[in-house]
Amino acid sequence: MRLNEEAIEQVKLKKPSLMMVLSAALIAAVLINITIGSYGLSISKILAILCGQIGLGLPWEYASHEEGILLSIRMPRVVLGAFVGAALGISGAVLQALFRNPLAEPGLIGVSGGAALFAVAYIVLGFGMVAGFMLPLIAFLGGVCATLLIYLLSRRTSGDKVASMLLIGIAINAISMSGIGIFQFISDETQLRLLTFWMMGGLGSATWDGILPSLILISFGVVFICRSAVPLNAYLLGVAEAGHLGVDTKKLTKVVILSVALVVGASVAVSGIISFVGLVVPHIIRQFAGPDHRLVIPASALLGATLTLVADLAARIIVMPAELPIGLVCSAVGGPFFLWLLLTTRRGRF
Amino acid sequence: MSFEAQNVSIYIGKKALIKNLSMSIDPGKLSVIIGPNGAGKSTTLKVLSGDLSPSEGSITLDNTPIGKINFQKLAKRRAILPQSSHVTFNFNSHDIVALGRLPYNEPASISAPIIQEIVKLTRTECLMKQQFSTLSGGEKQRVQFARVLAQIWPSGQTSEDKYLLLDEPTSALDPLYQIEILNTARWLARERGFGVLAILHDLNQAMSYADQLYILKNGELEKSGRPESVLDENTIEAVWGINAEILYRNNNTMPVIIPVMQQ
Repeated sequence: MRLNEEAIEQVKLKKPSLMMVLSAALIAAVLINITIGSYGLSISKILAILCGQIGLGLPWEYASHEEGILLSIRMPRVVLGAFVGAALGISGAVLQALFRNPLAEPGLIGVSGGAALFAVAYIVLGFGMVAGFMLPLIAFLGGVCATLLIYLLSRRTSGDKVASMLLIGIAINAISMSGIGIFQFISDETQLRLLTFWMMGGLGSATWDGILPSLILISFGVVFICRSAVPLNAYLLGVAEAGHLGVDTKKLTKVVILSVALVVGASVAVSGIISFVGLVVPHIIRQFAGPDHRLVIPASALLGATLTLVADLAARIIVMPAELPIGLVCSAVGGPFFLWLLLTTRRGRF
Repeated sequence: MSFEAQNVSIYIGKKALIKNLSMSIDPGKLSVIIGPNGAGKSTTLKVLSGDLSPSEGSITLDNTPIGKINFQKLAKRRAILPQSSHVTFNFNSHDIVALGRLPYNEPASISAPIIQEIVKLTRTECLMKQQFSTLSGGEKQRVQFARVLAQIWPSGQTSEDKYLLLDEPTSALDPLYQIEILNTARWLARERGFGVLAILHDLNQAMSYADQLYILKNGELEKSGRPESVLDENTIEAVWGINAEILYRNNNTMPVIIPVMQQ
């Protein structure tokens, strides 16, 4: 009895404490992100403004332009950053389980690229309307096409499926990028600026109206992904073994591919391509909490959101008052970090 | 009531991997498949487990084709021990065994004592806290055996028969654990009423453990029946091309197969 009780205790202890630490980190990141910037806002002012919104008067004074900065610039940006980061963290975690490959990540294997290609095509081919549900849905479609293509092609290869899937993903990514390059070539001046934003990623253009459709789509996708946590654990034993354990593997694959494409497409539509968050975040979580998806998925959401906000903060303050693209910051930090992870972790301990 | 293959054939292109194979795994019996390399043993197990659909014929559980049975219901009735396994990421062995209870959606208070019983039965206590990926091939095999037992272990009174398919369960094990896993398999059949099917390579193990023996050659059933009546010198010569002699110990009750070396 002792063994099992201890094992259960371990899970019970690990889960709340890890989730608490990560939640605290996220709250801290949110607060820092809304206070710091080219115009500083104190916590007391923020509190006063927020309470003012629901008709509660607090003793601290604030100017109306400060209210504007908080409510229409900082807040949508922070909310978007948190949602996009959570979406990327979760996507990385479940793609790694689905492909049974610790290197799968939406940015690396072309899911983000496919989504961006479709979004860019939509804009350059002159459908114009950048706000609303259309753009995130088109990006979602691009993400679905890319993921399905990778999945189907990797099943047709012989030999090491895990390695070939990654290479196929990289090829799909390259094709998407060249497609985006062609659209860059034929686009006009204004479009070009938009396209650069997609390639490099950025949260700077966030407005409530602009991000709302993506927030809704991301929420839906996250719900579906969270419901797949337990069957995904069985998937780590092998696809056939998961089937023997009663998991409907075809259905699970469909649900995961569609959900990942949905959250990644919706993220790309409003924030462009942000790589490495989906790769690094689940790795860090597994180091602390093991591979159980019931914990890995929510924890990856929290850590993904936190790291994305930290990256955005860095993007905003390193060259203040100008801004770096957040995708650039993530790749610059994430790439070396991932190399370090690869070289320091013991073999087989992904 | 049993788990059956009826007139099953499998074609890949024009080549037949299995031809018109019928077999029955009966509750309370340890059935054993033997045959030379390429005889279709693993393919047979893949059809029985549902990984491959038969080109002709059907696989039935209590007379219902397995394709028509709900995934979870089927998972509670039959489990499959793979020949080898690779698990992505660093699960510890206890997590692996606990995954066996996946089809039941039960609280830990119910699954914990079951898992504990199985860990004791399979003598894997000392492996439970270790990372699965750091275990040796044989230790992995034992943990996986515990997992598949957990999968079909009844949580209360049940009238449903359980079936266990073992794909070369002894291949990675040292002699002691080979005997142990076969003893457990026989015990599960005799005492718990499980229908057990194992693929074996060792003719002596097949001879001494099988209640029912299926001898495969070139994708066809060469012979089936009680081991002492089907596994004779002539069959061994015909199927494996081995010149063998069968000796009897203990007043003719324990046959031992000895290959005769040709000079």
